[in-house]
Amino acid sequence: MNANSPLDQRLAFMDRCTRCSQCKFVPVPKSREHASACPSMDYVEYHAGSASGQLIMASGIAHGEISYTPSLLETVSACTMCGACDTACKINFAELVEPLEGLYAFRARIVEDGQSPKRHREVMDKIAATGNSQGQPRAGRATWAAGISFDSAPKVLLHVGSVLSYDTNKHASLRLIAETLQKAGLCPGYLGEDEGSCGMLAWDLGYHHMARSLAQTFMAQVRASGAKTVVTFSSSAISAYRSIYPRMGLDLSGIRFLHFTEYLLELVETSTLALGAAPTYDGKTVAFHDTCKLGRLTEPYQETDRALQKEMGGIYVSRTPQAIHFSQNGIYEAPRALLRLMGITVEELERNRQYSYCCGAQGGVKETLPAAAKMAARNRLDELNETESSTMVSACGNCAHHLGKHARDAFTVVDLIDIVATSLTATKGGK
Amino acid sequence: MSAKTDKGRLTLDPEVRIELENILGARNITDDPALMSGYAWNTGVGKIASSDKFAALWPIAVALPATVEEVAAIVKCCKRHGLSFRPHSTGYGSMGCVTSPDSICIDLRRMKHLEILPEDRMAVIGPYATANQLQAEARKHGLTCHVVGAGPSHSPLASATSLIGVGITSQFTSANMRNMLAWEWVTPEGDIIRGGSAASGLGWYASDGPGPGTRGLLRGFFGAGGGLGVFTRIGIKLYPINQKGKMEVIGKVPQLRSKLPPHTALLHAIFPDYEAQRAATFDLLQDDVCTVLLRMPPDHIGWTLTRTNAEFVQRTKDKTLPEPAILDNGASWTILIASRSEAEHRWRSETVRAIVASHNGRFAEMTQEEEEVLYHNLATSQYVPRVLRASGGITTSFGVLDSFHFLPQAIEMGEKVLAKDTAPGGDLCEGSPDEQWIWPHEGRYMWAENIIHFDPTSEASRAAGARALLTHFADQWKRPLGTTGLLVGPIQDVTGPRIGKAPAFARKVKSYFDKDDRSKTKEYVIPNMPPVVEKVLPAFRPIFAFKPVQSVMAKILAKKGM
Repeated sequence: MNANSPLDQRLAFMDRCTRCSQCKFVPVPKSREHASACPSMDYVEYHAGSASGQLIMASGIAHGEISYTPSLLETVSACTMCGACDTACKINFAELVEPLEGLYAFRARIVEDGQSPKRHREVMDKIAATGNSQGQPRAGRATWAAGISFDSAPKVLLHVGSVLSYDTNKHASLRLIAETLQKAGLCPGYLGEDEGSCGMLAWDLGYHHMARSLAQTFMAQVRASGAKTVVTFSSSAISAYRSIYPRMGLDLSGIRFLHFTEYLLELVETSTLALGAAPTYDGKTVAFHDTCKLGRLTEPYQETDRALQKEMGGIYVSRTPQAIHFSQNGIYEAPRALLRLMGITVEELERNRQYSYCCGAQGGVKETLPAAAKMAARNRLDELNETESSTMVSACGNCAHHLGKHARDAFTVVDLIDIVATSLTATKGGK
Repeated sequence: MSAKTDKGRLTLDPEVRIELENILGARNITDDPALMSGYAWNTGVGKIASSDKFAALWPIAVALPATVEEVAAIVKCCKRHGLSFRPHSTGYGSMGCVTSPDSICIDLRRMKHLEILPEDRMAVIGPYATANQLQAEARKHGLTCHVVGAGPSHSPLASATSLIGVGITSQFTSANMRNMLAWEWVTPEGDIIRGGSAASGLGWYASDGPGPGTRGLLRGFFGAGGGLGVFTRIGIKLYPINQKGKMEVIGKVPQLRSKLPPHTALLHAIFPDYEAQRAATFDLLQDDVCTVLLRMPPDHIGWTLTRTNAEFVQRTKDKTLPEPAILDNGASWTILIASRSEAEHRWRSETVRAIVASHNGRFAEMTQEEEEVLYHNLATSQYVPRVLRASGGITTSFGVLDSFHFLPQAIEMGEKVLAKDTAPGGDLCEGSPDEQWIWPHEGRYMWAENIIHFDPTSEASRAAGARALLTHFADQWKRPLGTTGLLVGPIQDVTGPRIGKAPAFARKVKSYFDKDDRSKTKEYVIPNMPPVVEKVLPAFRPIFAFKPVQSVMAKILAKKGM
């Protein structure tokens, strides 16, 4: 036992798992087809695929009951770290188990023990070499912004993220938004080719030291820019800023972190920007996919004493109950509000907001187990069958790309950024 | 099957593996210890949250069949190779653990069949159609299912075929030991048998088909706990409710709530004492005016109405918990009235109020939010597993099945076993003097289950929990109170004459269908017991009831768990 090891620190929590299976299901399903909360369980089928199963395996490793095997590593790799299990578990168990914290610790232990799966190591090598998980050259990161001049001493720093930076289909939308901001006199800054990984994927894969190093680099860049507001187009990044960075002991004071949907909504509400009817979607109905990172995993993390103490003869009590995560305060409303402002009716999928089902794009699953990621996407897309919509909108470039790749029949997937970009204009009174 | 791992566990013979792979496909059979660890996690009484939770016995393999034919083939494979097996559905707590070193765990996860037949008020389900899924589909037709205490993620097939089946809405959803209709069963010999109307190809409508009724034979009250083959599909009863469609959930995690539908009321009646509650109960049941009646111990209502343990403890100290959660208000019913018309609702509500008043009862004041939390809980049984939130360690005394004449006696027994140790400074977690969950079943008998709540990290507390459990059995022998619902395994045989020849009969059933005891479990009768042992065991009752013996047994259980 190593008291400083994340796994050993979480072990008592893991060992309290009652194996009730509630982590496998959304708390109150609306149908049998969409009752599952866990893409990993849907793929693996053995109990090991669930959060409970992973916690038990972690406990087995920590207590010397089991050893690492290829099946263990493949099973762990099927988990998108989407946190739906955490929401479901906490309905009854609140601070007692906290599965997601256990999963973070388990992945860190796997790395500590030198057991990280080959594909994870490859992803990390790419991040180290190029600043993105795809291994795309740094030189290509800012091609979307060619010809746009950014402020060198900005109030607002734009962070684009690895996915959109290299997705040439998104470059036009990014340019439109950046140019509209400039027309409104906002003059944001941008790190260009110096922008690197936010560290979220490194964290999810268990490389916590690397994640911290990436976060430190980014924060140093933010401080150097002088910006007091960071606006990111990446759902992974906003999740990292709000939920992961506070764990790392970094100085985040005085910096406001926003997702682009929050930022644009704020600017529209203050009449700095105007949002007109969406050319293709005005009057139409779409279903909204809540990205895990943007929703439940953006709940701000409060670094505090999270230990439990016993009261009343053995009842576990959190020392800081106000810091327990309950999937609240994620970014659920801003993207919906933008859609509505563009004349689009938003239809809810059965699993929405904090109960959203992960599409499989996150947590390294897409890179490691494409079949698992594909199954998750198909499961998510099938949810459209219960709606009037044939279009699913996501505010995450990663999810939209992944879902779009696996969409069948008449279903289409649209990235919110593409709808917003063409509907956004600077107002005359723009600052 | 001869080699052993470094942990001394038996390993899967390569020849058996090949056979199983041929039956299931390689992906659906595993003997990888990591993948099997989730099938060896024992959360039973006295288990400490540590490596202690890993069961001593692990399966030699886990199989994932998708069809009844595959299940039958696995069972036959086990028989051919002298292996045992244990069916496993959702595997709550310790219930799915194997109980012999040569067992294959048959995880029925892939068998999720779920079909609603609304006109017949029933569903046809497989072992991994969970209660939350069944309820969601049933609600689309204005129906619901019975949800047992394990909560929404349990398998209704497992509870209906194999394990008790009690739950808080029993007044109108019966209980799963009475909810099974036709069935499909793989016997311990690997034969596929369909019973009830399904046996005649007439659908799954009735449990009784050609030949004698077999529900009692297959399960009785308690069920065979996985010791009598594998059940792969059943018809199950559904019950009409006064709302059609999806359950709308409001509130934030973890305090989910549901708005009460039209013509629905949730009341909490408090009586001056248990005699008054008993008298009122007879009147309420006689007039058939309550959809659900549930008595939760006050501290458990407190757990339900608070987001976290921290909030519960703080509000207990501050004395700000609502009236139903105050310990002095234990003589109470949470009452759900769900009517279909204004007139019906008026009549039922007025009748309930008149009955409660006539027995000097009153209604607790609750906020709308508290009512909605309790309603949501009653409708879904979502928070019933919350009893594990406080310390992570509970066990349950037994379930009393008896007339409501015995309600005060059940409370008295609960208090006798718990009051000293649930008081501040006692060895159990602080709580109500008794911890009886009580509800009526179909307007007739009373289910009363005393929850023993201990700190699993404290040996003294574990011993107190085990002592309370053993005291319950001893008190039951001394002063009978109904049939003990959790009378299982050796306790049945020790109890002996109190339940007549039931264990001996069940043993005959087990021995007839499973001569070699391949379908292994500890939650059924002990198979193949010599008649002389059967006769002698009840004589040990006074010894087991002897306090010093109980104390020693409690200490052993506190150290080793079970």
